[in-house]
Amino acid sequence: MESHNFSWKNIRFVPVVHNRMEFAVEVRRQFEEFRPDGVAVEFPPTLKDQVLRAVKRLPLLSVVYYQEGDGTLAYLVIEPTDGQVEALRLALEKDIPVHFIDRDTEGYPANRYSLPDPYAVTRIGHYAYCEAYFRIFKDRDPPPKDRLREKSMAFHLQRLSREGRRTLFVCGLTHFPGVLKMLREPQAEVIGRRSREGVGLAHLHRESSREVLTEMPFLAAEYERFRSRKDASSIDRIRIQGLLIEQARERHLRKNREELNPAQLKLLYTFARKYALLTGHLAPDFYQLVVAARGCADDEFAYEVWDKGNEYPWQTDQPDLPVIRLRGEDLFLDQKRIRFHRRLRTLRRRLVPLPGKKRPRERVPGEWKKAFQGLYICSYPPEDVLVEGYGRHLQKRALEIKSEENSRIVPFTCSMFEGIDIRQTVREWLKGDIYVREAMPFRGKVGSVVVIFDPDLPDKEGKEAFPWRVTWLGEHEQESDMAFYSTPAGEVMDGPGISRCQYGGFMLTYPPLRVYDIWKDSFFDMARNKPERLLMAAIDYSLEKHVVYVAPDPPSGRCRSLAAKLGKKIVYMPIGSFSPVTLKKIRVFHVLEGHHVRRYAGHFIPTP
Amino acid sequence: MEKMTIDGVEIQLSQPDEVPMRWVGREELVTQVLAAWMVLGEDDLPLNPRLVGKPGVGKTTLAYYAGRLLGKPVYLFQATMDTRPEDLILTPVISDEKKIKYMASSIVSAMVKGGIAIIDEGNRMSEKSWASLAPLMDRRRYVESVVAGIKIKAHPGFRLCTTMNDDASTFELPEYIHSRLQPRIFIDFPERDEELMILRDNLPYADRGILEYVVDFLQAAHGAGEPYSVRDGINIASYALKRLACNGGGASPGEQDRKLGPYMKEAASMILDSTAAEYFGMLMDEENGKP
Repeated sequence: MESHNFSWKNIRFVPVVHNRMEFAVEVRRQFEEFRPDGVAVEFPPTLKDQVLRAVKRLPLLSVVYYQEGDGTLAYLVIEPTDGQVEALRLALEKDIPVHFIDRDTEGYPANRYSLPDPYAVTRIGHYAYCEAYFRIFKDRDPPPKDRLREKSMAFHLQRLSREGRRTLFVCGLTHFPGVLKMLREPQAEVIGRRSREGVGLAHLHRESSREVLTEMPFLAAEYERFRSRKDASSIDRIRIQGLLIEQARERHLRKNREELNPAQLKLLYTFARKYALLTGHLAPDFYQLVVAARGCADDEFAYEVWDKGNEYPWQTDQPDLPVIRLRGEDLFLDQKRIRFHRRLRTLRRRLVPLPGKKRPRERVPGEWKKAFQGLYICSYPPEDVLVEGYGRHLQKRALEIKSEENSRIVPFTCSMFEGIDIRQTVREWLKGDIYVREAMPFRGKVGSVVVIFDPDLPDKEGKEAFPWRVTWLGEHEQESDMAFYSTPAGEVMDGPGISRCQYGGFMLTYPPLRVYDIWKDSFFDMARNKPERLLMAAIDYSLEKHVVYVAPDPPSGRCRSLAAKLGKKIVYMPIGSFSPVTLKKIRVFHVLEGHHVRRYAGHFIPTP
Repeated sequence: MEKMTIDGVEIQLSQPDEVPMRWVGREELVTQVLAAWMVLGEDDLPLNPRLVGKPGVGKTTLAYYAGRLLGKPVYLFQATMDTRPEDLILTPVISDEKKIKYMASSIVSAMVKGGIAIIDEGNRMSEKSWASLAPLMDRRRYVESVVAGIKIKAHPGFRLCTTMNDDASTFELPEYIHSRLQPRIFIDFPERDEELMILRDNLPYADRGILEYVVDFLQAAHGAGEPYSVRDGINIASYALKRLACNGGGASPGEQDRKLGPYMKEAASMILDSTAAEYFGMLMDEENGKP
């Protein structure tokens, strides 16, 4: 462990970068090592009562607020990952005195010092980090307000030293060189405000915690868990980010039935790391992590990362204090906006510290799910149009493929046919012949369409990911009949009476109003699984010769022989040859509880 | 024209592009592109970012600007539905002496010179064409010219990126191409202050009031989910200013202000549609205190 430390007489200094977890961890370590008689912090005594109340409330988040002389409201968010807060918590736990030794200063400018990434502390150690800062800034001439503050802190430290107390002093890194310099000479007490009226304490609103916390709430929560574990020896930011990604990945799989592959994950970490390095950081911040998640997967996954990263489980809705809502602007935080273009709802949200635009939410979690009966269900028409259009697109693609198979390259004789084939002409250049491409007409049309996203073969215990089997008839003459298997309606809710589902596979056949429920029709009982049943139904109901089958695997011999018996042909196209972006759009659909839901569904479902 | 011999085959290289494109605001997007292109060691490979967004949000400008920041020659390749695989690599042409000459595409020129290749509107290109670039975008880092019968290796400094429109009017790219065009960098409509900065940069001679009108219009359009972009805004303001210069050049400032409204409306109607023009009219009436 680190042996160096900063001391002056019986005072141990722990310079910190405010609100950064690595420094809070260092405060814990030095507290254990030094075992002080008291703790001094860089907070003014005028805020002592409320700050201590806020510290005692942790892990609940609080804000100390007061009004300055010019009417400006000042807010101090008490964050668990702050070194000073950690020192106060430890002092309260050990029942030793705390000293608030800063000077109450009004109109303090919002300083923005550029500091190396605090994550460096975990690699080079706290002492080397502060030493490097000290070397560069030791001769810094502080602004007058800082000078008075540092003088005031030095005076109190000299007083505490004279009293013979072993004191752990936690202060901001930027004040550390100044205070140390002032300690060389005896200091007199600085005149300043000794009391302040109207200092209040409020509970930070859940929505605000995601906006104003310096560290992402998920990290702050992990820190809380770390400090409450007796056996925990270390905590690492990058490992926590990995945990966040892992949990977001699990939730993404559960909610969206999409699994991130290892290549995507590798890309995510590579990109996030490079992004961080380019901005002068060793570890990516929350914003960079979400951008990387979006870049390597999609908006849905990025949203899960963002949502999970904003989780701070202790922020109760029924606190014992008045609730305050803060925006980043109130604290002069540098913010970036991010907009999620999700399939369920377009959100405009900010990232750490980024606020969010409101979206319809349940008053009580699970309210919509509980109310969903699923007795009178119907589809959402814009999605019907989308899937119908995609079906037509697949029919067209099948025709193109068949036509391409039928084309040939021949030497030019009397017709140019579809034009010169430059490759063959150049290849045979020495012969001096010109080659042209001749497309042979494709006979027959394409009827039913089957798309299998996931064959969903039951596992050993017979569990299925897409157990809901439905046959829907077209509502008008422009719409096909449809049979599909999907995630169950009522599992994921996007609004009142609006359930979000995901297809495992579907079949479309035109004209409408012909299909008997294929899942009950005994004619298809020879099918061994859901894809086979869909394909057999498609073959049987197709009025045209060709049936399109888009799936990860080719059709089974059983289906091929059924097609041959019925005089049909299966045009198989691997699903990998289609755009994953389009497939994702098609795959999600909404089930509405009754036709009346269609009137307001647009408020909860974006235009597909 | 610069020539180069690869495996005994002489190819003629194309010139890099020098265009006055400047990216304004949203520095984090530039950082994202540069991060994707960054290489951390000998074994590391640059990524091939895919810049996605609505038409007119500045995808090409961003890619070009980021490329120039690296101080490398930038080559733009405009992809179309007719782009064939050989167009992306080497095109054989018949010279005066009836011999075959091989012309390198912008992409191959960037590859051998260690420059930046930007495939603009990559989603308009067919899967077949993209397939010819597949080995270039993985560890192999080469392309194969069937017509010339050679393999062309990319210079270590070579970087690639593509821009794609976020609409349905495009070819579908299969998974194996998608996975090579990563990460996806999404370019959204800019915020109000950034949009104003872009307009000011593109129309330095325009009065601030005009730009404010245009920004108000664009922000309302973004809010309503309309696809109007800052490019449309620049065109509207530019056209209205040209009309004013033609017909109201010598008029007093008050007279110019009075004329500008109808010109803006006309510009919105010609560049966008009648609904946009109507909204512009309402916006200006509101500003002038008319009911």
